[in-house]
Amino acid sequence: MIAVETTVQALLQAAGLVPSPEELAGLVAGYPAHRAALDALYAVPMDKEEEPQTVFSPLP
Amino acid sequence: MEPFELSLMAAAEEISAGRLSPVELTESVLGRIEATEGALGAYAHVTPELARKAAAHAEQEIAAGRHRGPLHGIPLGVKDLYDTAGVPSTSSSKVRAGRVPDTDSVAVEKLLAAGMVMVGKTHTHEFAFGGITPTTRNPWDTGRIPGGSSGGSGAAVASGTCMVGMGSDTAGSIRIPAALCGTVGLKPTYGRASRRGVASLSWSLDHVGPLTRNVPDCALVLNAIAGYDRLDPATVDVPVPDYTDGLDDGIAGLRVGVPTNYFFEHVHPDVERSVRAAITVLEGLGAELREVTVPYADQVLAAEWAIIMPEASSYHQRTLREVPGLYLEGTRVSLEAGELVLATDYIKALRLRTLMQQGWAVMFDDIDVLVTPGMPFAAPEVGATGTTWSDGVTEPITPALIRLTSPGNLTGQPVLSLPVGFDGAGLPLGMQVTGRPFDEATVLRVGMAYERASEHVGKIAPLV
Repeated sequence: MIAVETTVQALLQAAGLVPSPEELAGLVAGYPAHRAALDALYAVPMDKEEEPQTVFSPLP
Repeated sequence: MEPFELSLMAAAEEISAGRLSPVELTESVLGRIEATEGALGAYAHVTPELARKAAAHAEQEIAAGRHRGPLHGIPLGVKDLYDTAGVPSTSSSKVRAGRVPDTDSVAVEKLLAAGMVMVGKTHTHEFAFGGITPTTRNPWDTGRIPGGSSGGSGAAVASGTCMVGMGSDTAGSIRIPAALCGTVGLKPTYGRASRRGVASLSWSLDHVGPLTRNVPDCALVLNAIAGYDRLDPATVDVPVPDYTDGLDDGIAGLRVGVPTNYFFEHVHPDVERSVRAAITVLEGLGAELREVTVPYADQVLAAEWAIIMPEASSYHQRTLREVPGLYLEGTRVSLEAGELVLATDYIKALRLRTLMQQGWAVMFDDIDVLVTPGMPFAAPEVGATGTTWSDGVTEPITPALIRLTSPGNLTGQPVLSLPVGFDGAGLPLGMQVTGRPFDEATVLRVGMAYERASEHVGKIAPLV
């Protein structure tokens, strides 16, 4: 199991960002909730090969 | 009544009849700004010299018989996110301090061409990335927030320091301040009006639109800003009707959807009471109420976050690395957090958005509009970080502010926010009316019917 701190630091490092220690601590503390919120996306099964709307049209 | 207290429509009628001059109106509004700005902080930049010059020009044109229409000579506040030629356009951020564009954003260009008189640039939550607008206070209670990100426009319209405040809306940023400040606000259909020249928060969720004192004023502004722009890839080349046509046709037989899930969960009792009372008013006007279940409700915030965060981080990618210290701490941390969203999360959200849009289209097979609360509560106190609901659930302030408005951004459908009363503390409460894509006309017609039947729309905050 990779520690949350390691994950957050790795993602930020890959992005070339170096936040202050205080901000890093905040991002680490908030990451589990952040990740859990995003995981709600995966509760929806996608059986129909729905395509992403990379250029969004308001008309279905 | 002072001229600044008039609605756009009322002022236009006075100007057209020769009973009010644009110069007199503009001076009244500038005086109101001077009287209230110390308490409100609605404006990032006030432009009195430009306003006086434009008003004098409007007066000369009208006197010479060249009346351009109902917007001619009407004071306008423009969110600082919009480019305005020769006027600082900073997105209320030190990152863009001193930035003065050479050209107007398309929406401003159109409004100025219609003869409007810009009195200043209204504050935004920095780069529109927040629902609070920390520079600005709510005119109904200066100890409370105006909402955001178009908080300056909300406070300005509600206090009488402009008749139209332009806003932008990516997760609710027109409708949040409209609800909390007691104004009308319209997020048109995604692609209905060009966003060119307006700083982006999230390209695929951004909309531009007006905050006004009443519904017909919104229709008049939409008439001016709507239309295709081949340089904004979001805009759609569809006909633009006259949005004032049919406003007073009533709503007899109109099918009004009332949600049985999501929108009435975790809302303050005063909000629920006011919105349900407004729905009863609509029923009394002949609307047919239909209960509906909102699809994919559990995924709304996940999809909104997964799209808005990485798109915002992408927009700010260079400056976040070059001048991170110029951002407010909250903005900087949000942009850093956007870098933690995986590319696959983002694409998943875009795919889910397709499903959500299809689900809403099916829901709208049985209804013409959906009526919901606009905000879960009245304006929170300055410094509030969240709220605890009666079941013990604690909700941070930002998700609470955008929870009821984000569906409109994800589906791209037009949404009107309008006032439906006050809570026990005298703070305004808002309701949303959502329509089918590009059917702003029906949304405005419902709003107009409610406005005629109630006493809640069109009020100015009693700020001295």
